[in-house]
Amino acid sequence: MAETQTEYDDRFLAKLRAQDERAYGRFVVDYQDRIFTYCFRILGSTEEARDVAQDVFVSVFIALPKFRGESKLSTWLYRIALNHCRNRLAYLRRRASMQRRELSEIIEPENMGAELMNRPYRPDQMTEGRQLETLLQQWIAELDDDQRETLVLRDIENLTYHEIMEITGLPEGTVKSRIHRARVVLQEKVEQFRAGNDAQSAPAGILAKAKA
Amino acid sequence: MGKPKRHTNEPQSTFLNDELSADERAMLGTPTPEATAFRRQVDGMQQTRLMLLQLPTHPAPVDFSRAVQQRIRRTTHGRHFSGIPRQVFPYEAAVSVVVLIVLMVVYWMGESGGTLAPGHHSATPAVYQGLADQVARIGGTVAGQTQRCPNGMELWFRSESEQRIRSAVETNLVLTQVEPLIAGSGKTRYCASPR
Repeated sequence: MAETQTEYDDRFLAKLRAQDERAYGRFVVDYQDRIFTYCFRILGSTEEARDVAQDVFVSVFIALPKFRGESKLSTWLYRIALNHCRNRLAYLRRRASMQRRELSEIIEPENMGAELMNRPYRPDQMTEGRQLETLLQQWIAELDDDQRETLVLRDIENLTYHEIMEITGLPEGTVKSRIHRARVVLQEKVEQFRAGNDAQSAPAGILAKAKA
Repeated sequence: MGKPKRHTNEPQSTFLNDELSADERAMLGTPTPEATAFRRQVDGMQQTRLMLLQLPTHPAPVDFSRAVQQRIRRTTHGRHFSGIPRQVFPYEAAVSVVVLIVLMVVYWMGESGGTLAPGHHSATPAVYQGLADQVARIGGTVAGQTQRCPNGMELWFRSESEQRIRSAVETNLVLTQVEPLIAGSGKTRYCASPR
């Protein structure tokens, strides 16, 4: 997988800027998993993630001739993905808010991601890895948007603080604070979960495994 | 980039970022309760972080790349990726099959002489055969295609049966009297031609 812009040589980048279809097809294949997963972590729904990730690559293709190369291609791609995810979350909340007004449904807009992820826990249907992922994803979805965006970039996508600053347009101190607050919230949830569950129960066992 | 910015109220992340000062590191090495509590906090955060790092990268859905290309083609009104064949949705295939079946039924009904719909007329061989059978039952005669009846079938039978025959074939055929009476037989000649 292409991790950085440097893995694409200047000739390939020139082809991308010229909207060369073959080059772009390769670019999509190189980055589709990362962008799809990133959108999933932010939006909490595979359906929404698929749709938004496709939109991202359409936007990137159209904007490529304007890409000046001042940042890494991957950073630029994440920035576009983040903007699309923000727009989609805003749209989903507006829609949820309208539905709530119309149908008197109780959906907290702040917890839209959690709402999407709030599926019943089925230990008989999930493997251990998926159980852990489901738990973590639910907790990530419950974070504030700004905390979730930065945490996913740092602790899941493993980007540097500098890259996150470029993607979010935030100063270093703000990025670090948001990541730290998100980590504290997650850590509290992990500890609450451990404290509230029997050590022999499946999810707690998973956490213990992950700890090891 | 200059010196990394650190927050004194975020010591765990500062530790994880490897941004502690030498004095702070030295403090962590001491067996004080503060140092022990801090180490415990850092361990917890580190474990949480490791769990997050272990989250898998999900593969994009099958045909993701193709779907992107199709979206680009639509967005650019076919200026890009126009060589990509259009995706055929299952319902399109279903519609084609249904249309084919309907056409086959229409053809079959036409061939078998059935009535397709009110007001629809067809003069098929089966219709002529039906007429011939009717005429034979009432003692009439079927002559087939003749000079008097080049577009249909000439036949003759007793005029009292005219109404009966006419009503039997009126959907598909027109019964025209071509000769009033055949002398000596009491029968009238008719021409049955398509409507």
